[in-house]
Parts: sequence; structure tokens; C-alpha cells
Amino acid sequence: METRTDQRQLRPMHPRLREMLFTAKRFLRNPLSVIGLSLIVIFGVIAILAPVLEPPTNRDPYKIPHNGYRIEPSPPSAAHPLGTTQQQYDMLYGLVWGARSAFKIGVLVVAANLLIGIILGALAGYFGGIVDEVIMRIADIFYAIPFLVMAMALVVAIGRGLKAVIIVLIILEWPSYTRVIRSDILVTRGKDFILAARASGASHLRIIFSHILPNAMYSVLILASLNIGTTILTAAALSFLGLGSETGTADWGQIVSLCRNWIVGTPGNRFAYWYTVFIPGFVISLFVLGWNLLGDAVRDVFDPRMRRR
Amino acid sequence: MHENLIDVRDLKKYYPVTGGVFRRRIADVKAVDGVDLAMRKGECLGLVGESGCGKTTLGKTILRLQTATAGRIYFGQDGGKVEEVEAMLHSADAQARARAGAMLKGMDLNRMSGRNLLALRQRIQIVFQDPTNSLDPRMLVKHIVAEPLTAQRLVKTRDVDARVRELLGIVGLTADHLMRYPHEFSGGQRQRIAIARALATNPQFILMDEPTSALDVSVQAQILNLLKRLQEEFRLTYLFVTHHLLVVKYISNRIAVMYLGRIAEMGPTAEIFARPLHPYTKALLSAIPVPDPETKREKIILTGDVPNPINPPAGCRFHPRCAHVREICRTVEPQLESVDGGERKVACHRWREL
Repeated sequence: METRTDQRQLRPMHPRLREMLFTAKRFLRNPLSVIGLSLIVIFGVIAILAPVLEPPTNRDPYKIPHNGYRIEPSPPSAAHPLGTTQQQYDMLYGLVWGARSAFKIGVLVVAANLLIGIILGALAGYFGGIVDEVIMRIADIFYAIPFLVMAMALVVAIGRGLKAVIIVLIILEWPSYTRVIRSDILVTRGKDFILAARASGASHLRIIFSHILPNAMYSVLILASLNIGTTILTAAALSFLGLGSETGTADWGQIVSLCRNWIVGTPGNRFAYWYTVFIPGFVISLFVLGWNLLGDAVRDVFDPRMRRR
Repeated sequence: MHENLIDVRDLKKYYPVTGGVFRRRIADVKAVDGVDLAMRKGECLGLVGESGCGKTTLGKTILRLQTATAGRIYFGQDGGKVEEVEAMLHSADAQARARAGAMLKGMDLNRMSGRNLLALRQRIQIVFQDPTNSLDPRMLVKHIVAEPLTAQRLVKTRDVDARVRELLGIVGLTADHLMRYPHEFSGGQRQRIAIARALATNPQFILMDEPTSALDVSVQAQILNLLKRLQEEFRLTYLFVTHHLLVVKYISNRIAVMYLGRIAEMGPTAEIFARPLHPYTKALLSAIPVPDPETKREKIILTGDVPNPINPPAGCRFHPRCAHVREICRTVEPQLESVDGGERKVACHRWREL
């Protein structure tokens, strides 16, 4: 008994903590994951510090201040470090506060989708039968309608604005989450430890929450982390088509849509307005790249086939 | 007369096969097709048969992990009362049959639900074949072993830990192992954890679903000895499902041989090994390798596969593969009959002559 207590003192760490450390170690081993994480952290800091970096001048901080109504964008200058867009909206202000909008859209949409996907997927996968049939056929209907067509129709129905974009993306994205989690639950449900739990007298709720979900969550978490970037892209695309937020809102897609008329430049100089196209595009790309790298890292860390067990 | 812990009567488990656009039921897989089986308190009954003969399905039906299509499962019921209900069920009087049906609601494991079933779950447990599959990889050993206790709130929260430690001690593990995940253990240790979990509620009956098949040979012996010790110590009743005849010979008091959803032969282990009566049992036994290379034995090699359980052969189920087939075997299904007026039973038309 003496030696046993000694051993335990040598290993005081709680196993869950140990697992988390192991996860963190694997995560940090890959330079790409670190780059992805750094990008997201930088964007996060910018979003949080927005009021300090670019103090709002309007009552609504998400309204980009604009200096006059001149149509032609103006190049970077002392007053506007990154230049202005069409109608003289300040680019830097828009990008800084737009980071907040980007996080809002990405996190809200993905979180809501996760929630809906997990609930519906768990119902469909665990109980099967008619429940499964109804939920999955509704999901199929969503798959059958072209994404942008449906998005446009919904935006028209709900009304323009950032909120509308978020709602539309939630309505259109949940089927893929539901499918992924359902298939994982179907796999987990057949395992012997679920039968063992049933033989132990565990209730359905207990089996779902303490056995099935912890084992079936990985794929959908990976999907979610990869999807935050994609969601931003889709939101930007909707804005570009004029279906997103109102003109002048601090939202990256909105800023890109303001450059629509200036992509080609002037007859003599094709790159006359490069800043109005390149800068917001670059920022969006960096943000999406960050999430994609992070998503890949999450997959590498969580994928059971790549993990040691 | 011995008191039966489990009395299975005419148990059937059919899996529907659906087809066509409307998913209509077009056929049944008859995994278990009319099994009668009685188990005495404290015995170990070995259930043997080849893959797909329905032995695991039979076990899981007894555990009510699956609900049987038809038949009765009496668990821990008074023998006299069981006979009475059975007699009423088979009587010509419709009223008596209806009354028996009402009585069965409280007696038949297959018809129980809710609280009654939950209460029985304490007394019936299972150990699975592959411990890598039967232990939740995301749970600590401490929580795995405690699950039957916490799921049914059988023990006060503060006493759970002490009980788990005690259980680990019983199966030969230590308190060091409490805070670990299943993947940190070897196969044999994992099976010990699974056994500790099965013991947690102090069950009377444990279904052993090939508990040693997934283990190394050296570890198999350890686990078998552990199971044997536990059986004596806690006066457990085992239903030992396996296809490994020597394991069954070592641990079982009685053996039941299953073929295609029915019991072909049953009796005390020693008698079955000494004098198998059913041609199928003979073939099974002749397949056991003998460690002496000098011994020449007649091996009975069965031809063909197990027939499709969707459409089992008419008459004796074994007749397409049997060397001693006669006309009667093709038409009349043999019933399980007693050989010596006791518990030695065989379902074969020609056991007397062979």
C-alpha cells in the first residue's frame, strides 16, 4: 500500500486535465495551427478594442462615418490611412468595426446551427423510425433548393440587414450539421457500451448526453470550426449582391460591395482604385484563412483516427 | 426439484426484412425460433453454436436489450406459479388464457416495462465480447464502474466511490486505476473493468457474451478463473455464450447446443462431451483439436453453410448438412425430447440408432 500512495502522489494531475494538455501539445506542434490561431486572436483583439482603435463618431458605432458624398473612392492619406470607399466611407473604421460584425455573424450562425443540428440530429439518429424520416426529409428539401436563390427569397421576405443575413444563414445551414451528427450518432448507437448502459438501467436522456454525444461530437465540431470562415464568405457574397446589410454599415461584405463599380479602374490605369478592392478583400481572406487553419488543426487534434486511441 | 432462476418458454425473435418502395415486411429472419431453456440458481449454462445460430440474440433477448417477438421469459419467479400460468395459457378455455395474459404482465420479463423492468436490471447484467467496444472511451474507469449504481441511484453519492474501489479490488484491479481512461489498459484489464461494472448492482444472473474470445490465450485463462471464482463467491448464475467448446467444458455445468435458432441438444457438460447424441454436436466436438499428433480421429467435416434463417429448411433444420438423413428428417421437425427422463435432451429423430 505504501508504494501505491507514493505513485499516486507522483501523478497528481486529473486525467481530464492531462487529456487537455495532450490536446494542447498536439495542437501547438503544427505551425499552421499556430498561425491560424494567431490570426483569429489578432482579429479578436481588433474587434474587442474597436472603440479604442477607432472611436465612434456616430451614435450608432456600426455606421461608418463618411466625409462628404463624392462618388469616387479616395486613396490612402493622412486622414484616411486605408483610403475611403465609394461615397467617402472611411475604410479603416469600416474594417475595424466590421471585425465585430464578422465575429457576430460567424459565431452566432455556427452556434445556432450546432444547437439545432445536435438536437435534431440526436432525435433522428437515436430514435430513428418516423422521427428520423420526417427530420431528414425536411433536410433533403433544403438541399434541393439552390442556396443563393433561397437566400435571396428569404432576405426579401425578412428584410435587409445584418440580422436578416444571420437568420437566413441559420435557416439554410442546419441540414448539413444535422446530417453529420446524425450519421455519427448512428455509428455510436450501435456500440456495445450503449447496450451496456441500457443494461445498467440508464435512461434515454442519460445515454444521449453522457454516452452518445461526447462520442459523436467530433465531426460536427470540426465542421463548425471550418464553417465559421465559410459563413463569413457567404455573408459577404450576400452583401456583395446587395442582399446584406444597409449601405454604410461596418460589415466587410458591405465594404466589398461598395467597390463593385471600381474593380476595373480607369481606361488608362486598371489599378487606379486598387485599395478599395484589395484591402477589404485581403482582410476577409485572412479571416477565412485563419478559421480554416484552425478548423484543420481542430480536426487533426480531435479526429479519433488521428488521435492515439 | 431445483428452483429455476430463469425459465424461457417458446422464445422467438424475428427480425423483419423489408423491401419494395413501401418498405413492406416481406420476410423474417428467424434468429431465435422457439427456444425452451431453464436455468437453475448458481449454475453455469454454456450456450454453444456456430456464428449466426442466434445464441447472442437469445442472450440479448433474455436481457431485454431486445424485445422478443413471442414467448415468455420468467426471471426469479416461483416455479409452481410459472407452471400454473403456462397451463392456463395452453388450456382450451379462452377465459383462462385471458387471465393468464393479465398475470403475465407482472411475471414475464418480455412484457415488463418502466419500473418493473428497471428493478430487474439490477439483477441481470452482461459482459460483452470486446471490452474496447463495451467501455465508453470518453469515461473514466471510476464512472464506468459506477454507472449501474448512479444510473439507478442505488447507492448514495458519497458511498459510490467506496463501492467502486471495492469492486475493482474484487476483480483484481487497484484504486490506482480509478482515474484512467479505458485506452490506458490492456485487453485483460479492460475485461476486468467490464466485469466489475457487471457486478456493481450485486446481480443474480450475468450473461457472458463470449467474454474471452477477444483476449489473448494467456489472458483468457486468467479471466476464466476470475469468472469461476466470482461465480462461487457471489453465487452467480451464468449464461455463457461462446463458440469455443473447451472454454465451455472448463466453466459450464451444463451445455446447450444451438443450431439455426433452435436448441439441438442439451445436458450436463461431462455427458455431452462423453456421448454426444445429435449429429451436429458430434461434428462440433470432432472439430476440437487434440494436442497429441499420434491420435488419429475420425473428423466429421460439415459441408455447406448454415442455411438462411429467413427460410429455414423444412423438417429437421440440420438435415441438409446431416450425413444420416432419412425421409422423416426432411418433413417432420424433431422436438427436444428427454433422453434419460431427466435433463439430457436432444432434438433428433434418429438419436437412438446413431
